[in-house]
Amino acid sequence: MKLPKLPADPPRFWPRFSSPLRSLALTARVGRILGIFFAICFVTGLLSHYQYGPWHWLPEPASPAWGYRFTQGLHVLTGIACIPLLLTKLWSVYPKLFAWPPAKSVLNGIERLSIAVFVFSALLELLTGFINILDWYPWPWFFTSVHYALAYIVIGSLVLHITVKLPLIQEGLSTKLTSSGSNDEPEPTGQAASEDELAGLSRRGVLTATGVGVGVLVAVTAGNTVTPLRSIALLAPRQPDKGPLHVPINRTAAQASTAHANLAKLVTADSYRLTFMGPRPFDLTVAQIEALPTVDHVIPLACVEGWSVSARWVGPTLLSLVERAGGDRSSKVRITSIEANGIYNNSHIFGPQLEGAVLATHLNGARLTLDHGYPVRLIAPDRAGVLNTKWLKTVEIT
Amino acid sequence: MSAAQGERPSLTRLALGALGLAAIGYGVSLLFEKPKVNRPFEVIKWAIGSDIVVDGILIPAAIALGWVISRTVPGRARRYLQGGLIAAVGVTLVSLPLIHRRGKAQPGQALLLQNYQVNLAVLLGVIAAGTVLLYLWRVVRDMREDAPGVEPPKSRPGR
Repeated sequence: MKLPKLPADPPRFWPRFSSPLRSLALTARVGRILGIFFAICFVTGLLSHYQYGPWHWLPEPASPAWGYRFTQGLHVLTGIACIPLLLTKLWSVYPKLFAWPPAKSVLNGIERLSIAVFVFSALLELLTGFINILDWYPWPWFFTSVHYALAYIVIGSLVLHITVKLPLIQEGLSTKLTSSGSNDEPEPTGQAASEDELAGLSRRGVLTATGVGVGVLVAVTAGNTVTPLRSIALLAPRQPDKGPLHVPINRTAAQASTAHANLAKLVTADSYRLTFMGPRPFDLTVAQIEALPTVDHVIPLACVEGWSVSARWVGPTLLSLVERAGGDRSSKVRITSIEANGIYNNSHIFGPQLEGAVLATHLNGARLTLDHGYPVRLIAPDRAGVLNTKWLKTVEIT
Repeated sequence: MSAAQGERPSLTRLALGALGLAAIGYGVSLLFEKPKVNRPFEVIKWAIGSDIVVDGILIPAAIALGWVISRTVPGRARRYLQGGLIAAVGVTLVSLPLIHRRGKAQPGQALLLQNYQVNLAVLLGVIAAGTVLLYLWRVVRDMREDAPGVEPPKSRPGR
C-alpha cells in the first residue's frame, strides 16, 4: 500500500527549528531516565493494585510494615518526577512532530501513531494521577479503573517505542553530548552546534537543569511520606502530622454519611454492636470492645494517594476475635463498615495481614475520633489505607 | 542514517515489540470493558486535550521564550537564565493545581492546607538565587582566569 505522494519539501508555513540543543544524544539520555521512572511507577502501581484483590494462594505480606508506605510513596514520587522529565523529552523531539513527509510509508505512519499513543496516554496518566492525589476528580470516569487501564497502554507503548527505536537509542547513548550527534533524518537539530550557540546553555546544561528541577520538585513534595523532608514539603498536598491525632483523614464521617444513615448517630447509639459471624457468632458493645485485652502497635497508615504517617494503634488483635468466633489464622475474613455507600465500605483480610491486624480503638494515645473510624476500625501492617476499614459493623469469617 | 537501520530485528526485539502491543491491547480492552464506568471516549478526548496543551501551547511557548532570550541576553548570562528557567518548570506546573484547589478540601483531611502561591514564590526565589549565585561565580572565575566568557554575535536564532 502506497501513501499519496507529497512535495519533497514541506510547505512554506511548515515550522522549522534550528536549536542545536535538541539532539539524539540528549533525547536518549532523558529517555533513559524517563523509561526507568515509568517502569518503577508501573511496577509499584501493580503492587498497589494487587492490594485490592490478592489471590488466596498469594496473600499480601505484613512485613515490613512500611512496605506499602515505601512502594506507594515511590509510585507517586516517580510519577511526579516524570512530569518535567516527559516535558523535556517531548521538547527534545519536538521538531520530529513536524517531520516531512508526515509518514514516509505505512509502517512509518504506524510507528508514529504508536508514539502518539504513548504521548497521549502518558500525559493523561501523569495529569490525572497528580490531580487524584489532591482528591479532585474533574473527569466523568472512575479514576481507579482508567488509571489502571492507561498504565498498560503507557507501558506497552513505551516498550514498543523502545523496541522500534533501540538502534537509535543505543547510538544516542554512545554519542557524546557535545558531538553533533547523528540521526536517520538529517535536519537542523542534528547539525553541529555553532560557537555562537554554544555560548548559551549546553546540552549537558539542559540535562543538569532538568535534573536539578526534578530534584527540587521531588524534595518539596516527598514530605508527604518521607518524614525528614516534611519541613521543606512546600508543594506537598498533605501535611500528615496536621491531621486530627496527627493522622490525616481521607474520608470523613460526614462524607461517608447519607440522608438515611448518619454515621455519627449510628456509631454512638446504644444499639451499636460489632457482630462477628462464623461457627461461633457473637456481638460486642463498645464497652465490651474496650474491655478486651489490647496490643499496642506502631503501624504506618499509608494512602494510595502517596501520603503516609507512622502511628501508634491500640486495640484487641483481629485474630484473637476471629479465633473466638471459630476461625483461625488460615481464615479469610470480610470486614464491613456501617458506611452505606462507599466503594471501600468493606475489605477482605487473610494470611499474614490477618495475623498482624488490630481492631483499633485508640490512635496516638487518644480514643479514636469519629472521622478516624470511632468506635473501632481495622489497621494492618503493609496495607493500603482505604482497606483499613473504618466504623466497623461486621467481621465475617468467609 | 543509523548503522542499525535496515538490519533485521532480533528475536528479542520482536518479542519485546509483541509484548508492548499485547500490553496496549490489554489496556485498551480494560478501558472499553465497562464503557459506562470508564467512559473511554471521554478519556480519549482528555488525552488529546492534554497533548494539545503540551504540544500546542507549553512547548511552543518554551521555544518562543528561548528564541527571545537567545536574541536579547548575552551568551554567558543566557546559559544560566535558560538553566534556571528549565529548573523552574516542574515546580511551577505542579503548583498550579495546588493553588487552584487550595481550601477546597474537607476539614480534617490535612489536605491542601498550605499557601501554595507563597510557597511557589519562595521556590522560584530559591531557584533564581541559586542561578544568580552560579552566574556570579562563573563571572568571578572568568575574571580570575583573565578569560571573560565569550559573547557571541547574535547571528542565529536558537533556544
